[in-house]
Amino acid sequence: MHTHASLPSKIFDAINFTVLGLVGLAAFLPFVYVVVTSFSAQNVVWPTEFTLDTYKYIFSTATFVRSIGVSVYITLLGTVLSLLATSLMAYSLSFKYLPGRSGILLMVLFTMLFNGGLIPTYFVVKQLGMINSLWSLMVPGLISAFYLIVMRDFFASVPHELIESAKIDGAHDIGILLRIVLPLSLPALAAFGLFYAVGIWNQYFSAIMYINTPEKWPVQVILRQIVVLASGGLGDSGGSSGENVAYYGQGVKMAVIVVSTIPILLVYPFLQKHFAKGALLGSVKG
Amino acid sequence: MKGNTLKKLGFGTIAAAMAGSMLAGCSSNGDGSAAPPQQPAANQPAGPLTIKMTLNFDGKEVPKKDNEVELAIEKYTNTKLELTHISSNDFCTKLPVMIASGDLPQVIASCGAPSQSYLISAAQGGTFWDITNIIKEFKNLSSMPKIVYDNVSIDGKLYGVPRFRPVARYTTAYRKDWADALGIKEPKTLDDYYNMLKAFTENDPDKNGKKDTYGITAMIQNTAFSPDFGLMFGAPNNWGEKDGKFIKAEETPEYLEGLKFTKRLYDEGLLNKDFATIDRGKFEGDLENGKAGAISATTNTVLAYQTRVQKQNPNGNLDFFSVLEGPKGKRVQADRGSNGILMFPKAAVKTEAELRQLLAFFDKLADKEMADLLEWGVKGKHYDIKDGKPVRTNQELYDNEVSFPYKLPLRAVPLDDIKTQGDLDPISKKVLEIEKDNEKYAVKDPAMVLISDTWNQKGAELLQILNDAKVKFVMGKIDEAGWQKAVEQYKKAGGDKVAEEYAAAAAKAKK
Repeated sequence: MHTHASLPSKIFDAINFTVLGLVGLAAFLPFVYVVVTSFSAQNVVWPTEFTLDTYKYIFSTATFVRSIGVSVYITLLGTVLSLLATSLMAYSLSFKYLPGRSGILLMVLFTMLFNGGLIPTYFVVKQLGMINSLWSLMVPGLISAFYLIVMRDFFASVPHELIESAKIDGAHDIGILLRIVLPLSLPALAAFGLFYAVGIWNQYFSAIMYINTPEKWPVQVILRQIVVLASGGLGDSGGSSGENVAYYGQGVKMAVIVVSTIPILLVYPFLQKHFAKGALLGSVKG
Repeated sequence: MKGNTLKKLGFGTIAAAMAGSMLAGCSSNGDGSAAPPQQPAANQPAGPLTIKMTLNFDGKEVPKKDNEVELAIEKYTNTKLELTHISSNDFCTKLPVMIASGDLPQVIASCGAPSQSYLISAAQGGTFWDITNIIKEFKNLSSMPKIVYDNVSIDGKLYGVPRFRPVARYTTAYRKDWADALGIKEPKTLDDYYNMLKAFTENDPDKNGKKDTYGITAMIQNTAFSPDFGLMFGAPNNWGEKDGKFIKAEETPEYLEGLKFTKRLYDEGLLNKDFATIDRGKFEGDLENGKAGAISATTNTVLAYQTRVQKQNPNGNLDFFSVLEGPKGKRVQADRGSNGILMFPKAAVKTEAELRQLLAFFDKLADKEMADLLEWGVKGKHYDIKDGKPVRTNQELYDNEVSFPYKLPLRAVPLDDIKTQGDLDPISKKVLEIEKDNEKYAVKDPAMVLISDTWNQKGAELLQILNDAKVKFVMGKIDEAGWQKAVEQYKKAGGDKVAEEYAAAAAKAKK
């Protein structure tokens, strides 16, 4: 701490710390509540008893463990594929002399403003034969238009001279991308890798739409089902409650949140150092 | 280094991605889990009939394929089942997309009642087989009460097999052990009921020396009040019809009487003060934890509530009643009498002969052997024979392996009279009696089969106006004049138009 700070500056600091501390708490306390509730006995407003029942309930289905496997698989493969596809496209679009560049960019921009809608998308996925295949969870969202544009700007910021000199040394385009441009763009790759990973990890709607066999359901679908069951809200639109289902309480919902958040929380610290740089640098330069 | 690994990884996965996206049609991309399922060979004329079905599912986990129960069904009906179970909530989202894309199996469940606009237009557009005349050929399927068919028909035509459930199944479950401790008999009239709730609140029914209990747990459930006393006081069930004119229950003075009764319960603390904001967890939790003495339930949930209460308090015991003698006699709300219908898309079912085969399958499911399988499960696993009668041994296992995946989504006909009668617990016995008995007192909703475009578009909005006003009235934030004002607002916002449309639709149906 500063020892020679003036009084006004001390007051300012104090206010600063208090306000930031409160904001921090406001963001943090809900998580504490979620974690605490997930370990508490059933149906109490403020938890008093510690129990692992909620987690036992979640992990009691064989489907759940398998679904984590599915999710990890699609997240890893999907992120790698997305990053590759995005960087390949972004790299080629970063050259001003690419023929038809502005046309392609316009088409990309178009998809940011308008999308085809649920049913046409379903048709495309169906025509590609991806119904009930895990590809349907990775391929339709392979390239995000926004990340593509940011990444293109990031690549464009790599000094052109560097690329030229590599060319003179005999490197071909893919070699330059893999050996020079991508290593220089690691912050962007890390940041967008995390974005893609979170996106794929969290997706459940596409799984509901495209995946029919429970063996291929990612974890979010299962978790949602558990939450729906635990809250007793069964799909019986006829009015009153559905068939008899044991009630497992608020704790299950909270445990579900914990379980589905942990993997991303684990990855985050390793990517965080790249994070600010990756997300900002690309977007500032243009 | 990094570049090299990335490169190796890169080309491999790019190739895989290409194969995946472009050649996914032929399942040779070397990735088993991502391969589309092999279509079963179609050239098996004499073998079992392959039936692809997509059904809504309310259980915890879909059982593995080729489990004992499924094999038994397949063997008895000579079919090969390819069931896709989709959690009900998700199914409701997916069904419209499947219908719009024409990507349909041979049998598909409607998500909830078929009175939803997209189902109506799909049916009118000829997406599904009209089975009105064919269903008569099947003895089990045609045995359901006529009202069950009427309630799911669209323009007077039947587009699927209704999954039967009792027509009038609303009950009030209460703590029998509390009533016994206080010397209260099962309520027969509204006054009895009121007195019971009052005693539950004030006379310390759990004998712990504290005034920590209350009468009935209430909440806003699926935009409806639970409990709702309007009907008991003589208001119509949702919509009333008189001389071809339609009137919404909330517009009637009888409904207001019911609302006043609710307010009285609220004011005297017989009903939880937080009813407007709580979720289902607290709603059911209060009964479970011995705070509330009664809850609105359906006949099929009482037993589950009892199990839950006994988990917390082994001496806890529930009983239930369904109809009370109100100012206008005994009345109970009639339901649709089915939990969705099973439809047969023309896209997958090409000929009427095939349709008959499918209907025969559902008909066979109501034969005694199948009824026993669906209602009792597998002997030694889900039930045992005691004194010549089947007795359920593991309710949870039965629910997960038989009831949720097979009985509930597939059973069309009520199986209670067909199955081997078992040794039932008192609640289950009473459930069967009450469900029969209630048919006499059931008040129908005349608008159930009618279509109103305005309601389809603005129904949720209109209900919101009424519900807000109900909550405010019970909490004392508005008086009778305020309630009338809200009803007027509802009528102006579209309520009157809905009534006109129902009247026109009803007149058309009568012709």
